[in-house]
This record gives sequence, structure tokens and C-alpha cells, in this order.
Amino acid sequence: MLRFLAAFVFLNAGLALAEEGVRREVVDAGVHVPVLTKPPELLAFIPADYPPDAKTQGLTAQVKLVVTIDETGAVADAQVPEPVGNGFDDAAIAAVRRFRFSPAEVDFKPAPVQIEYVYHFVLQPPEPDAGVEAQSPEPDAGVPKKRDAKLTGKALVRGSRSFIPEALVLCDEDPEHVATSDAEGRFTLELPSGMCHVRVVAAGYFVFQTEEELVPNETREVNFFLIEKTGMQTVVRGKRDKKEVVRRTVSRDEVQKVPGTFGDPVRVIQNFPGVARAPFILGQLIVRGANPSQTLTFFDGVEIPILFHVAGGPSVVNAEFLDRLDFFPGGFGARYGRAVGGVVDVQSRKGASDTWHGSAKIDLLDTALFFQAPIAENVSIAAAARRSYIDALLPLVLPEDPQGGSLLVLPVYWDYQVRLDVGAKPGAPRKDGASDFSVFVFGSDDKLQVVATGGARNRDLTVDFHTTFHRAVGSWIYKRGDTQFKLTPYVGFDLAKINFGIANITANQWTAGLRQDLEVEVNKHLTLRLGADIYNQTIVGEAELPVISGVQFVEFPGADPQAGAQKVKQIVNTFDGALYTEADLKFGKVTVTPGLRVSYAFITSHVRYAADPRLWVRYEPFENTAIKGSVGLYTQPPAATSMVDPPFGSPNLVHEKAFQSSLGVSHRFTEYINLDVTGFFNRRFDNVISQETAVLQPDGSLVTYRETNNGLGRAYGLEVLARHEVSKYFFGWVAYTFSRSEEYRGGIDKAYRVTQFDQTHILTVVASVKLPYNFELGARFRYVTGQPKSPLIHDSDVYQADANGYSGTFGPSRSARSKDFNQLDVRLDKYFVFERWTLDLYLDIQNVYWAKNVEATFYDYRFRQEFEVPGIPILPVLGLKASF
Amino acid sequence: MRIRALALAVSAALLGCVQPEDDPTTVKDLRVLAIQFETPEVLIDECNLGLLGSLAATDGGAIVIPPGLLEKLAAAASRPLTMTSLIEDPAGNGRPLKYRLVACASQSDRRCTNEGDFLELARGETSAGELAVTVAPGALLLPDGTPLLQEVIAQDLFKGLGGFRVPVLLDVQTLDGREHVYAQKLMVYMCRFFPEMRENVTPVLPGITVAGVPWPEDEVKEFTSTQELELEPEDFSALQEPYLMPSFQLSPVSLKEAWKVSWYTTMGTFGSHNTGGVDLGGQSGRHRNQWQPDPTATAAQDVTLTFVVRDGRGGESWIKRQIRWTP
Repeated sequence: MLRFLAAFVFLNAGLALAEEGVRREVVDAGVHVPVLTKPPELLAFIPADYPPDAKTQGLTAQVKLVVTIDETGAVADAQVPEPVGNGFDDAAIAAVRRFRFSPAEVDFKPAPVQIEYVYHFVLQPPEPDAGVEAQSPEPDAGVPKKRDAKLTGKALVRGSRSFIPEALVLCDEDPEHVATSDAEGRFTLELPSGMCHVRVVAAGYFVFQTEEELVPNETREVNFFLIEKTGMQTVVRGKRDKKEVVRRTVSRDEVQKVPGTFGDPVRVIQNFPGVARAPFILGQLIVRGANPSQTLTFFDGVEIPILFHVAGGPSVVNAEFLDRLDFFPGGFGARYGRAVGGVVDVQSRKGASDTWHGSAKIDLLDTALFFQAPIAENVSIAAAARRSYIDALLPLVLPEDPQGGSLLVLPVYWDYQVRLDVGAKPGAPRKDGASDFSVFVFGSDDKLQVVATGGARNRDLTVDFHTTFHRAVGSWIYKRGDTQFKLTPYVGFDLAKINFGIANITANQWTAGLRQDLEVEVNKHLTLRLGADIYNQTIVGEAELPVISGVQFVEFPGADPQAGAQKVKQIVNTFDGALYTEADLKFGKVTVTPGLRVSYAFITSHVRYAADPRLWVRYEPFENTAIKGSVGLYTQPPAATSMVDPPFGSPNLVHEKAFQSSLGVSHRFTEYINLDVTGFFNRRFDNVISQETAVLQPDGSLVTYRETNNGLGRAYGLEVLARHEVSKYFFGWVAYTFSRSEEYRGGIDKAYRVTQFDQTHILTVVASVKLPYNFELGARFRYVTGQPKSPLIHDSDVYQADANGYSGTFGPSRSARSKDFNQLDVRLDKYFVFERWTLDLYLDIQNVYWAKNVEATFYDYRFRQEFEVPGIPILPVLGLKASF
Repeated sequence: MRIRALALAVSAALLGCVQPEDDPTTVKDLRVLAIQFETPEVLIDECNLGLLGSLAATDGGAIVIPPGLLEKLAAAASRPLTMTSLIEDPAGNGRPLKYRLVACASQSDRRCTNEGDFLELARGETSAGELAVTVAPGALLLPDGTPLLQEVIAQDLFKGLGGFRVPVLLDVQTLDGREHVYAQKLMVYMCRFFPEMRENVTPVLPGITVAGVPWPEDEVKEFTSTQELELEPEDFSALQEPYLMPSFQLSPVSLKEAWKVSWYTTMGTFGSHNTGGVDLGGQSGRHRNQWQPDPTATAAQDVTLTFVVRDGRGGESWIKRQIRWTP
């Protein structure tokens, strides 16, 4: 006897037509253009009855249907525009009417849509025993079978074991034998014993089918692993604070996949507008003309003291531990301070609430582990650790010391993060009146040992460098009604140590701080935010080193005399307390947010005050369009170590200041696609610059200062970001910045000059696409105006006999440029998805077409000619990541 | 990310690929290799810290130098000094060179062209070799009659704590002006802040060794190999003088000279341009060096090696050795 398979093809083309149909319809209306933002997905497929006559005659057919799906996902209507006859049309209509879809969305709201659907009727040869079955019907045919067996288990994501809620589990396509999985993916079906053809259907996953044999009076426990259709993780975009003119938010998926960044979150930021390209592949953040030190990076609101590992390593922010990253190139809220450039705030990741997960990653220079798990009801933990092994590999590739002595270079770094959460699960809404607690501990350690001694070399070199930091951050979040309170206490310890020859310097730093944030939604017109941001820091620095020429006495050109050792001890205390407030005033489509941050700082017994008024305005003329503007004052205290007493510091330093303004417009075209255009003008003043000054005292002694506040700066430009957020198969963006940044050093410069990193045009295109067969391909292309440089003018040699060196003669400072930079980076991932884990094999290739870029300029010893330092050549890196 | 270190290493390797061919140890055209003042330093007695402190008195921002100090300075600075410049011009074959000697007020005025702040001491023609001129740069008057030393003090950020340093410039060029060198030397007039201070003495290399064997000044070495020649100055550690400098807080800082040797050759190269000195960690450098003949040279030639020593306080001198090299 013949059995049939009714195969269906869910035509993407059909969906596209549906989408297009919607668009066309409204374009013709000429008023508003609704967009299909989420297509419907088939959740429950019902097989059609093969028309008996057609089956007898061996006929097959394809029935094209126009299916109307209502806003709940139910089939409201099904029509056959081109009937094929022989009973196929009615059979198809009858089956399709029982289909179940996920609701489609138009303009992000559930809405009825029409799609085109093709139902295939295909005959297959009878299976040998099927005919027997058909000729010998069961004696109890037509009588409901006794449910004497149980099928229970979990629906899980293949490759990660995450739970799949609301999966439909069907046995033998029988509507009576259906179960839906709960939040933990668990389901139970009571069934008649015997063979059961199991079919598991869940939104976003490929249909899973298997056969299970059920034994009478026994429970069969199974796990069904469904293959996720999505290539990327789903990003939940909740309602966010929108007052800033520009806030770039990056998800973990984007961070890990942007080619050329090696999954480093901080380096990903370099691909957004407003950030200049750093030389080579350094991670410096040069934001809107500000120095890298003027942009601060926070981990859960606590500043990261050392952002990058030693010897050009990655940033200390492990991408696995990142939940979200917010980057403010300027105009950031009053919650943030002590920065006149931009702010990066990395939010750490809560531990998993479903089951334990983890990953292990290995590449050229280090390996990283990540683990997360629920450990009790509403309690979860996440932990990550990373360690380099360059110290083990480097000796294998370093050549024998060419000078016959010993050469040793041992860089080692490691970092860790541990977070314990009590309270709401990740992504779950916070319950009214409930508290959430967390403890987050993170830290980093770097060591670099360089020994080059003996042999033919004229100078032995022994450097032992060690830095470490640890931070413990607590968090208590309480929500009641329209009020939310957050308290974040933290403590930290930092160590910096260097031994160089007979010199050794050690600095221990203890930090204790507190952040408090309170948000009250008073009414629909007014939301208030109040907060405090306080920290105390004590640095104890001790050193034993030679008397320092040029710092403690006047140096002679070219002299490196032998000096006696001295012991130096400095204790530097800093207290910095800031209060801030903001108020969102909403009047229809306009939101005005005035803010103020005031701070009191006590740095090495010197008191500094700052008051930073800020204002943001947002106007939303249309639902997906916003016009935004901001002006504000921003201040940044000098480094405490710069304010110690002379001759090592300059206690007269005051806060650096910046006036920042920006105006922009953003428009969201679809759920995924948005465009943002922003203009900015920043004026910096009281910039700290290196400028040696000396004040002669009546007794003939000199008080010398290393730094002054004589720096001025200004930057202006236009930033454009067209972005496709992370979707199932694609993410990417086109970022373009047109800008100019200039600086002026009072007492040194005669006029403003462009800054070292001024780049007129910065174009970055990033794209990553999920391909068939579990491949994912990403690319990044950059085009950047060349770096400024001073033109070399050689008409004669200018020699200093005492220093035995030459000086160059240059034209106007930084009035020329190196040639423009361009580079293409590509990343290819291949995922091997096993039942319980996934292996990601990736190849990240920097500078694919080996562009001969220029990273720096140097000169021959007489400054007659200039030479260009090339950028990185083509640089492939292979890595492995296993996740479960 | 982590391969940044690797990338930098690769770039450093690439940097090696773009090293300029012009090696500072190879003397092939017009150069000034050293300038010596004899004596290299003039110590001014009775110029104490109190006297220096009176410089703090200002009149509308300008430094007013007390007459007592100026008088003592002028007396000491009138000492005539011999300024000897070592000019090399291997490609010139003894061609005539124009020169000027100019003194000026600012160390950063590397060509002595700041208006009103310089004056010419001498000019004439010379040729490669040693050019010796007797001058007293501290006693000069600027065109407007201001003592040069007064202007030096006015422009000195440290107001004499590192000594009053008068820049003297040798401006030497070929007659057609195609090769032109401005060479600046500082003449140091130092107050005797502490009684223990002694006037600097010109450093002199006691000799050179080849593979540990002394190389007499009058010996022309025959060398036929293309291999390296191991050279080292004879031990001069006992000649390096201890000296005192005032700290910015006026306490004495005990220092000891750590001589630097600069190595030059008219053919081939030296492995290091400069040797010696002390690094930031207080580690002293050694003075071994290797002379490598030009691997492209095919004809026998006389090679002059020049060794310039500097004591880091303004004192410098040189010695030479000759090689007869045949391929």
C-alpha cells in the first residue's frame, strides 16, 4: 500500500512577496509606509489527507495557496487562486486552515498578513510492511488506544543545551498527543505504548523528528536537541535611557565577530564614528580629538585602572563576560564624570538561569575559559579566566641570541571575572518590591621580564615589570513602583612594580568607592535621577633609584652620569566625591533633560571643585525619528601622581575641562536598520601638557614643574552610522566620520595645529553574514586619512656636539600627512554543532590584500631623508572555541 | 587582539627592512665629529647660591642680574679658550671650506639666528682637519651692548643651576654651499656652589686595543680580511672624574662621569655608534665594538678610524688610528 509524504516548501520568496505586498499597498496609499518587521513562522504543520482517487491514479500536485494569517498567528483564510483539481485543492485548504504560525509583525506590532504557500503532494513507494499493515488492519482500529506509556524529557538547543520553552511535541501527528514544553524545556506526554513518530516544532528552530519506542507502563525520558535557525544570538532590546545624543551599544555577538578586532570589546569600539584609528592594531580610544587618557572605561560602573594587557595584549575585558557595551563619544550623562573625552561602560553578564554553560577558547597567544550556571533558585554564578602562554611559545620562536649572550623575553598576563547574582533571572523583569544583589570580582595581572645579558653586547638589560589590579563590586538594586534604587560599593587593590637594573619602583594603591543611583518616575512628564559617585584612593609609592638627571638636577645634553642611589617614598591620598542629578521633562514629543554634576576633590592635600551643568533635548517628530541635541561642561581631574610635590609633580594642576555640544538625528527604518547622523563641536581647555617650568626662589633654589594646564583643544565634525543590528543572519554597519581636531600648547605653539591623531575622513564598513553549512563570514574595510606629520626640510645638517646628535628642520608643525590608510580584514567561522556542544573554528586575517600602509615616520641620523614605518602585513590568526 | 605583540614584532622586523643606508659611523662627506673647548668648563669662585638667588628679583618680568654677580661672571668669562673643531670631509680631497664662528644666547637657537641675540666671533676658510680658534665667549657683548652672558642667564630656565651655558656655533660649508653643517657646542661657566667642586678636565682616551692588544698611535694596521675587527678603548675607568651638581633644592648631588665613546670610520661601519654611559637603571655600558670593512669595496685603501670621547659635562677629545686595508 502506498504511503505518501506531503512535503511542504515554505518559500522565502513567498514571504518576500508578502512583505513586498504590504509595502506596495501602503506606498500606493501615499501616506505611511508600514514595514513587515517580523515574518510569520510556521509552528504547527498539519499533514493533508491525500485525495483517495488521486492516490489511486498515482497523481501528484503542487497547490499554491494564498494564506491569510491573523494577528494571533491563526490561519484566518486560505484560498487557491489557481485550482489544480483532483481533490488536491480542498485537501490542501483543509490542512492549511489548521496550521499555526507565529504572529507576524508590521512596524513591530502583531498584524494580519497574507503569504503565498505551496503545498506539495508527493507519492512515495509503499514500505514493505506498510502494505501488510494496510491489508491487516489492527483489530482495535478506530478504538482509542490505552495510554499506558509516558514520554517525558526536555527540548534543548543543539550545541548549547539551552532550554526551549513552548516547543510543541507531537506523537504521530495526532492532535490528541501534543505537549508544550515549559520554561525549562520540559514536557510530558502520556501515550499508547508502541512506536511513536515524534515531531518537535518550535519557533526559530528546525523541525525535529525521531522515532521512539514506548514500553507499556514505563516512562521513557529523552532529550531532543533542536537546531537553531538563528546564526546569531537574539538581542533583546528593552526600553533604554535615550537622553544622550549618541550612545553606541554593542552586543556580545558583535564584539566577538568583528573581523580584525580579535574579539576584543575595546577594539570593536574603534570601528564606530568619532573614534580615530589607532596606529598598528593598538587599542587606544581616540575619541573626538581627545587624548586616549581622556576617555574612561568602566566595568559595571567602576573604572578599569589598566585597560590593556602587557606587550600589546588584549584589553582586560573578556568578551565572554560582556553582556552589553555602551559607548558614549561625548555628551554622556551626569552619572559619568572625571572624563573630558568619551566613556565606555561595559556591563557584565549574569550567570545562566537554565543550566550550566561554558566555553573554552584557544588561539595564538592565550586561552580563555568561561563558565556559568544556576546554583540555587534565583541564584546564579558566572566565571571567566584567561591566561597567555606567550612565555612558553616565545622561546621556541626567538632566535639564539645573535650576540652570544642570553636573551629572555617573558610576557605573561592573566585576568579573571566572577559574578554571583541573587534575584531576577537574566532578561526577566524586576519584581516590584524585590531586591537583586550581585557581587562581581574582576582583576588582571601582567608580568614582563626581559633579560639580555652577556655576549658581545655593550649593555646588559634586565627589566622586571609587574602590574596587577583587583576589584570587588557589590550591587543592590531595589524597585518599588516607579522608583528604582541602586547601590554599588566597591573596593580595589592595584600594584605596579618595576625593577630595572639597580632601580626598583613599587606602587601599591587601595581604592574604596561607592556609587548610588536613584530614579523616580514622578509622573508621565517628570523622571528624576539622583546619584552619588564617591571614591577614596591611597597610593603608597616607594622607590630605590639613582638620582634622576633632568628631574632632580639640571641635565647636560647627552650626559648619562653615574649617580648614587636614593630612596624615595610618596603617599598620595585622593578623595573625590561627586553628586549628580538629572530630570527628564517630557512634553509630548519633546524631552528636555537638564543635569548637573558637582564634585569636590582632595588630591594630595590640594582641593579642587568642579560643577558641570549639562542639557539634553530630544524631539521625536515621528515614531521612529528623533532629533537630539546636547551641550555640557565636562571636567577631569589630573592624575593624583601628577600632583605630588616638585620635582616629581605639579601640584598647581587643576581639572581639565571640555565644553561638548552635539546635534543629531536618528531614524529607525526597520527593527534592525537605523541611521544616525550627528554633528559635534568640542572645546577643551586647561588641558594638561608636558611643559617644564622653573620658579627661582629667593634662596636660589628652583621649584620645577613637569606639567601645566596650558593646553587648549578643539574638535568638530560629522558622524554618520548606518547600522544593521544583529539579526538571524546578518549584522553590520557603515561608519563615517568627517572631523578635525586641533590643539594649542600655550608657551610652546605659535598657533593651533592638528592633533597627532587628526583624521579627516574615517570610513569603516563592517559586515558579518551567516552562511549555509554553519559558516559565518565577516569582513571589515577601513579607509582613513593619513596621519599628520611635519614636512622635513633639509638644507643643511644641524649638529649638537655635546649630545652628539642632529636636529631636523621641519616645515609648519603637522602640516603634511602620510598616505591614506586602507585595509580589509576578513574572518571566517565554521561551527561544528554537536548534540551538547559547539566547536567554532575561526580564521581571522588582517590586511587581506596586504596594503602597504604607513604607521609612523622616522629619519636618518642627519634628518636628510624620511622613512616610513610600514603597518602590519597580512596576518592570519587561527583560533578554536568550544562552547556548551 | 593578543597578536598585537606579534604584529609589533613583525612591524619591528619590517622596520629593519627600511633602515636608512646612511650609517652614522661611516664618514663619507662633510661632517663635524666633535668640538672641544679647552678648558671645557670655567668654574667661577664666589658665585654662590645666595648670589644666584638674587636673580629672583625681577623688574616687570625681566631678570635683573645683580652687578656683583655680573662682575664675577665677566671676570671669569674673560679667560681665553681654545675651541677646536674636528671637521671631516673624505670626499672633498682637501677642498677649501668656508666657516664662521658665532656665539648666541639660546641653546634652542641651533643656527644662532635669533635677531639681536648672536654675534660673530670669526670667519674664514679652512679645510678638513682640526680648526682651532681662541675665543672668550663669556666676555662678549651683543650688538646692543648687552653682555652675552646676561642674555644667556635671562634665557636659561634654570638660572645657572646647571651652569651658564653659552652656545657657540661652527657654521661650515663647501664653497658652492651644497654641503653645509651647523655645529653647536656649549661652553659651560659654572658657579662653585660647593667648595669641593673642581673644574672639569678634558677627557682623553688612553688608547685603543685590538682584540685586547694595545694599538699604538703611530702603527698603521695592515688588514686584509673581510671579517670584523674587535676594538675596545684601553681602560679609562680611573680617569672618569667624580663631580658635584646642585639639586634643584640646592643640596649637592654626587655624580661620576660615565664617558661615552663615539666610533667613526672612513670605510665600512662600526657595530655601534656610541658606547658607554649609564642607563636609567644605573647600569654602565661597556665599550666593545666591531669594525666591519665595506663588503662591496674592491680596492685597497687607507682607512681612518676616529674615536671621540665625551665626559657628559662638556669635555670631549678624540684620537685616531690608521688601517691599510686590502681586499
